[in-house]
Amino acid sequence: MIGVALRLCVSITLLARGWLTYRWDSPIRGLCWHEEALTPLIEAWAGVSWEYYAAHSDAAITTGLQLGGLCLMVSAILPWLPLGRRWLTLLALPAMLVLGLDAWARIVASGYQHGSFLEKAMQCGTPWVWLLALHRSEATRALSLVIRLLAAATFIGHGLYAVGYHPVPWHYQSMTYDITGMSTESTLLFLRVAGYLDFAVAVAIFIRPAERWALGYMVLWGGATALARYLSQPGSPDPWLVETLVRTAHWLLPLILLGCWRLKLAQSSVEP
Amino acid sequence: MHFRYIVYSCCLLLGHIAAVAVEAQAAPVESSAIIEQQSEWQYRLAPKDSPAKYSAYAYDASDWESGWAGFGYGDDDDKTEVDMRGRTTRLAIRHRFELSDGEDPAQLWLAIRYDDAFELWINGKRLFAKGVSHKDGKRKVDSHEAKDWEYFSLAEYADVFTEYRNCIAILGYNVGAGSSDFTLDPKLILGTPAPGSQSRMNKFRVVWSADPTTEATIVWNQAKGKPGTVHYGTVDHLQEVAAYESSLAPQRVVDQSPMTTCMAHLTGLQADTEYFFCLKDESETSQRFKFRTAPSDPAASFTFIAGGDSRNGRKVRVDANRTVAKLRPLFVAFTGDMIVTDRIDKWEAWLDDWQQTISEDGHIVPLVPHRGNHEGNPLSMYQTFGTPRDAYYAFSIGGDLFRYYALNSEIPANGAQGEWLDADLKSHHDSVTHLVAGYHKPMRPHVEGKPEGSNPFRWADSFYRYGLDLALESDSHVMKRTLPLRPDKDGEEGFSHAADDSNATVYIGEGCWGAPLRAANDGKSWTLAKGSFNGFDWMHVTPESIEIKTVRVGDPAQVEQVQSGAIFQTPKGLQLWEPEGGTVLVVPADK
Repeated sequence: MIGVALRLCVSITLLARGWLTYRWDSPIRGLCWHEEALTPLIEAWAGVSWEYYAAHSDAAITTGLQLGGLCLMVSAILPWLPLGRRWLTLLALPAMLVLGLDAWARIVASGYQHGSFLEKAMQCGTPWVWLLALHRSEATRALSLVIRLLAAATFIGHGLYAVGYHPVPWHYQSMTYDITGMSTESTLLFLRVAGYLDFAVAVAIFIRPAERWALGYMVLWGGATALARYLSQPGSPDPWLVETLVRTAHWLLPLILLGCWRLKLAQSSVEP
Repeated sequence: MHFRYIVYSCCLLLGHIAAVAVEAQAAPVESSAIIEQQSEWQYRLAPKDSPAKYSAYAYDASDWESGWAGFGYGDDDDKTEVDMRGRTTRLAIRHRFELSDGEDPAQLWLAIRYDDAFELWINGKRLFAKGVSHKDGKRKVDSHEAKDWEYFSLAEYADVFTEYRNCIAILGYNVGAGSSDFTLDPKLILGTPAPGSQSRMNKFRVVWSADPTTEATIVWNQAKGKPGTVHYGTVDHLQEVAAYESSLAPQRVVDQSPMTTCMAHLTGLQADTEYFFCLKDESETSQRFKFRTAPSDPAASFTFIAGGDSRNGRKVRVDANRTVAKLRPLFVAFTGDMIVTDRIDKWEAWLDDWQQTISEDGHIVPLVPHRGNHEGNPLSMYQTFGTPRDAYYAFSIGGDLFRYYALNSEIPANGAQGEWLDADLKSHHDSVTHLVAGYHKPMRPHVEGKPEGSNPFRWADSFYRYGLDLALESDSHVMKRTLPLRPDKDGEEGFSHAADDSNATVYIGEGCWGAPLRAANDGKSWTLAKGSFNGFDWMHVTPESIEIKTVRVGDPAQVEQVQSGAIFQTPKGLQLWEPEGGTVLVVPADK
């Protein structure tokens, strides 16, 4: 059951991110338009000026991103294929590269904010968790630790934005306002409280008595914030329902951990 | 050989003693190239002869190799790969050139990308070194990455050049023979310094965020020393600061290290009046600038420019800025994404490039800044331009002729901003002839792959309810014009054409001031025209209408200056967009 949940998590993440990249572009475009980094390369390789490249590169970049999106979507089927571990790993690499590049592009676009680096941990990390489970299925402790680290990183990343360490994104405020109707001041206060709770649960999932409550909170809050994307734009399933789905890992990975915990409890209650 | 070594060492020592610390400067206003980028140079690894010899015009370099700049290895950024790794740390290049009549050596600049250091020699004389020094017989080379072009004025070395035959030699140094890369990529250009670039006070801008008929904020960077004082008045006293009627020290000084941003908010000004000002600090007086306050007469007419997204693409944005200087609008509404990443070095570059909007006679066009998504710091507008903290505001020109709303699509459009907008529109819509709003994110982008602007779309109802006439949008890096529209939330496209509806709004945009272009491939049924080119919108406001021309950025040197008696007449050399529906889009007054 847990294995199925993990595979589902991977598939949904890749399918959703793939669709978003294919249809709705990606910040990878910003890397392709990094004037400082690319001008010497463009001038040396292609012999054209930056101005020419900037005016004529859109189509090629768009095609590249669409191919990247297709790669992600096709890779969504990998967890369900009856192939050997080595083949699955090899076939998953391109998708993981695209996912990593997308996350890196967001970090660059944010001006290298720490929060941006952390918050993508679960989305990017899900295929890695799956591969780890594939290759070392008996290493449940290692798996559990990896998922906890990814969950903690994501929640800390979100928390940094929610408390205002980084500028609070407008869509955090807008979603809260649209769903709750709170005033701007109340929204910011609410987000600040939520942010500190994010920090708290990121620590609590490593502390034995508190871990199940923290995981439970992560399941609920991760699910709620993912769903908020669609709830604030109910008439637009594309892209907003897809934005909800791409955040499946935010609640499903903690749920998997909770499932592991209950399984462990069940086993220990059976064993003499 | 021993004697030559002594002479060479002495030259180096003298050069070291004579050399002053040389810093790269802001990119000049380039007029032409003496030695173009990627030109052919002669080059030699670690030549035995001294630079004093091989930088002489008559030197016999027949045994030198020839190659195209830039030279080096590693980084995949070199036109001519040089096999020097593990062999030597020095590469010499030389190029002979002539200066014609009219080419003033005082206007020569060395533009260079280098990794790690170099010495510049002209006609046998060492001008300066960058990143390399010699002391006690030892050479020290500092590590330096060849990222951007760096510019060095050669004005103080003008005497070294001869009227016709000259030779430039550059000795490039690598930090170590085993270094992973090396770059030496020069060009020699003629240019003039960007306005204010060499001063202790620079990066000047005049900002309108309050009543432009009676107020203006003078903003500048105080590069060194204590902040200067603005001396201003209605009479031109050039740089005689004591003669100006008024003076004002900055009320706000913002530490944006390495910039120190100073803001002096002038109040009590007369409407439709030319004001002259200069700044003086402890040791320097700036050039004299001038700007015109907005008119308060409802029968007035004026022009303004709107556009956004200058992000990356410096050459095009500089060309656009120079075109602004030729068109002399009353103000520029810059609708966001001035920079690509909200870092101080990007702001410094943008502000340096903004100086190109200043005319030769010192005329500064007031700026109305807006926040875009690339201005990631919510306080950037406040800190860099002195706008209100949340970067939304409104002002009127010509009494009830024109009211402009600078909106912030990077914060919730509803909430406090939405309430303010609604209340302000409600109180002005009956009396004001032209209501115009500018903001960054388009409500319905004309590029596939850009999600609909759900945040700014929240303003659409207010726009329609109160009859906003014109909305200026950016972000997508395309150009578009729409028919007059009303919001249509049940329709697929969010809007529908509202013919003969005095409350309808025309939407134009979408941000092409230098940013990489996108395909305008998401036209709607109500799109009048769309295109993909660098440009901005140029508008003429009269009591009868707002006329809109869309300028295509070309070579600003070809554009003549707009004449004061014909402020909207297309000057010679200016390229305009000629879409279906006509070159000039007219939004008639509905009051």
